[in-house]
Amino acid sequence: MKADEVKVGAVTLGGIVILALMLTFLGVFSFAGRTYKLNVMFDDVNGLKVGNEVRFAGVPVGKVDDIIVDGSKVKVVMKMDEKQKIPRNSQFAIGMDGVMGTKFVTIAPPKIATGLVFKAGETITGQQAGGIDKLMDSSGRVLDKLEVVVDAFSNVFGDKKVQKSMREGFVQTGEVAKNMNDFTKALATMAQQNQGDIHTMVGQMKEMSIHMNSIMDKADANGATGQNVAAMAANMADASKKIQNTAEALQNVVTDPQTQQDLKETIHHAKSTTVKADKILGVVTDAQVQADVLYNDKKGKWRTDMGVKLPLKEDSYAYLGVSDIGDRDKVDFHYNKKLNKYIWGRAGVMEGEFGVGADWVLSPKFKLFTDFYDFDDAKLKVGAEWAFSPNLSLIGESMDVLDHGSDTAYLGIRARF
Amino acid sequence: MGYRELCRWVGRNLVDLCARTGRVVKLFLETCAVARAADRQEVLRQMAKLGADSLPIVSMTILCTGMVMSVQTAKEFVRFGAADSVGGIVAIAMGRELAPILTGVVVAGRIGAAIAAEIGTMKVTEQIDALRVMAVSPIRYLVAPRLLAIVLMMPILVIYANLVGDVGGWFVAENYAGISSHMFLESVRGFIEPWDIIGGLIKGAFFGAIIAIIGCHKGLTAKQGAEGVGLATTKSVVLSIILIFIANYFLSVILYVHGG
Amino acid sequence: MERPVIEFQKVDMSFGPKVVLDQVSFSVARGETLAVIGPSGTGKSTVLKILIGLLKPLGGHVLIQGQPVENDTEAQWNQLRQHMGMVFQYSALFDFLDVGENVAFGLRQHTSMSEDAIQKRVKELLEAVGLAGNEHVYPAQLSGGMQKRVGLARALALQPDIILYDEPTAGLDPIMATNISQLILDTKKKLGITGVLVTHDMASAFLCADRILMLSHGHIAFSGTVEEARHTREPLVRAFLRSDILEDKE
Repeated sequence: MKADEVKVGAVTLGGIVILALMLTFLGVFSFAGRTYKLNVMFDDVNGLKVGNEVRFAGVPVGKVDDIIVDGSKVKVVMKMDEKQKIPRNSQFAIGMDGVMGTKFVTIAPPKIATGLVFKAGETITGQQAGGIDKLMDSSGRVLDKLEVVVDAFSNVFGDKKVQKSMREGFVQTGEVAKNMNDFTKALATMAQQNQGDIHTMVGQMKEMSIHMNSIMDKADANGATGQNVAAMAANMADASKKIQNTAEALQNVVTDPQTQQDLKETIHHAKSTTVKADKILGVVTDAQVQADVLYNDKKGKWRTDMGVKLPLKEDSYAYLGVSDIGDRDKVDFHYNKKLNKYIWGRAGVMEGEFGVGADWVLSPKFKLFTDFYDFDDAKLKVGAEWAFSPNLSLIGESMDVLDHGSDTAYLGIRARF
Repeated sequence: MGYRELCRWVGRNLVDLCARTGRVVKLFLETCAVARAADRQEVLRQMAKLGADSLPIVSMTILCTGMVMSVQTAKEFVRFGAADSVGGIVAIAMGRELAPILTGVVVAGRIGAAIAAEIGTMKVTEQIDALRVMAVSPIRYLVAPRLLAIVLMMPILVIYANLVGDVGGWFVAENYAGISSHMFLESVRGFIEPWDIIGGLIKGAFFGAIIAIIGCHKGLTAKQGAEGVGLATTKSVVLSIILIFIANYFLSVILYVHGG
Repeated sequence: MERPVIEFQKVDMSFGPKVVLDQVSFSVARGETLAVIGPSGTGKSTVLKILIGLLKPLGGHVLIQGQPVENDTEAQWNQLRQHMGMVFQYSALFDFLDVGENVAFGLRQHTSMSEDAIQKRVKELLEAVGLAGNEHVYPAQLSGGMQKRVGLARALALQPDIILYDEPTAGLDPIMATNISQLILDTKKKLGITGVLVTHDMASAFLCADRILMLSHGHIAFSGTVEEARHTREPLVRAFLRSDILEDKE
């Protein structure tokens, strides 16, 4: 018996030590204690996961500690090795390497170091995924299209005749309406074709101008980037000249009070124009924000849940939100699919735990919902929703019906907008 | 006539299959119910006999597998310029699949057979009846300690298997494909996540439960005579291995498909 | 009159199409030893297995100490079994335990006796069966007769009220067989235990038993005292007495 005890003990201890060493090697316990945090805001983290590496000029300096959806952006919290200070003006982006494509946060050092470093807890805006070269490409393309728009714009307002006729109040003549129509058509086409690029551009323009200097410096070392930059710079100069011309021409017109009035009416009457304008707006995703405010009168406790419903198809949507905001801040992120006329099923993260659930639509106004999550603790949530209007409902729910000991019943309002 | 015969044959086998599955599940549940009452000393004895003593053969098997993984991937990957992926691929394959599966198969062969033979012999020499006659539940006295011992020891064996397999792969990658140690280890570090290892340990525990329950079940239902014991032993190994592979598929889906 | 310790009331038992017990009734009084004899395959061992709950009868009633037990659960049986002992045909000693541990098994499982007290009791029991000093020998190293004696010591360890013997003399040479029979008789005399002895060894049955029950094809062919058995005209019993012609190589 003694020998058995020794043998089992030795093998078990050996196993546990090896496991601990392996996990340490993988970085689970590394940087423990001696770390500081930095936050980076990204538009898109492209599949970055908690635990991925952070590299400064290719050197691992930290780990991704948390990824939080923050408004329309994604906040990546990074745990940095205290010994590694990151210079200001460094650029943060999402990188990818190897055939398997492990993601990491890459920090590119600035060309001109100022000697200043980021302090713990600072929030920095990150570069869009895909790197600077991709941005250059898309910028160039958008600028080409922008030129067409500017040309059309110039045609409308730059024409002396138009200016004259506008001044003279020929508001109903086809001239302006026709040109205006052409312009909005061009704008609509461009917006549809380059929706993503425009989003990218708008997000990046600020950084671009800030970092233009260092990019220009890099251009010497990288031929492709250099060409892109050169072409873009030329386009930009060209475009900005045209914009300037247009602006001048426009100024001539709009300073006249009578013209202002006329222009308003022109646009108001040009029906085809508004239709086009609607179309532009329609391209923007029709995400719906949903907020619950609930009250538990047994405990006198308020809770607020909030999230975004992102329609994927007619019969499915993704829900991304935070429940119990301010207290526990648990993530909800699940995929919902219509199973039949009455039932919607869902699976994903509920209150920060994996779970499954379903909605029973009993009438257009009334539905029951139930979620089963946190398999360790077996939490079962049930509730009902009664819609007063499409945007406002009364809801009642019990967070944990399997645990009879605690009072988890909440009553409240759900608003959508 | 042939048609009726076929229907009867299918029906009989189906009913038989359900009955046998039910008996195995019943045995498992009964064992779980009395697992707390299992004798500590006996669990320890079984852990030493069934777990610790399997370490050499598990290590040997998995060392060769790790080395062969490297032999088959390293040169090809170097050719495609993906030398920095070899370590990660070997480690992920080891952690998630090869270490638990191969440990399971080796232990099924070594331990599942031993359990079926031991309990089968006890069955045919009336020792099981003797236990019952002495008011001792064979499930509590024989099955529970074995189930506990294997379920506890399997994850530990899988940890060793991971280490030995990765070291085998590392050795070959460096000496055969010329991948530097640093690159191999960085690749492991870059690719693998703790869950890749932990999930494998969870699999190991499940495979252990399969091996113990099937071994005990086949032993307890052994037919009279030495031939019966031999048959029980063979069946126990074959069935354990088949069930391990089936369970592995579902465990992989549960552990790795959604959770990532 | 005191109720019998063991009672069979019209017990039916069959394995598939083969009927082994057909409406069998008998009883055993306190302190009495009943020998069940008969040709092989006539359900002698089945009687014992039903008596100790290893098999469940298909019909009829089994009463132990006046209580019906045929529908008892395993847990209820385990209560009863702590007051019963059984000596198996092939001893059924636990081969992973040594002789001392085998004898001490019941004591360790069901009593909170100290280790010293257990060792003392084991020593007594082994002395009683003539195997003193063999505590640390493993069963595989013992001869068949010695194994049987260890089996008896193990069955007696918990001081049972009822003891069941399944062919205790089968496969032993005549001297050893007589030796075992003598032990069974001593046990009965010294401890006053109620016993059921299944055998086809007539010498053993005549030596140890108070009454003899003969089973044949699921029926009771003869039931009576040892003296009655010696003088009966029942042909099967006569045949058994003449020689062991009906005995096959079991």
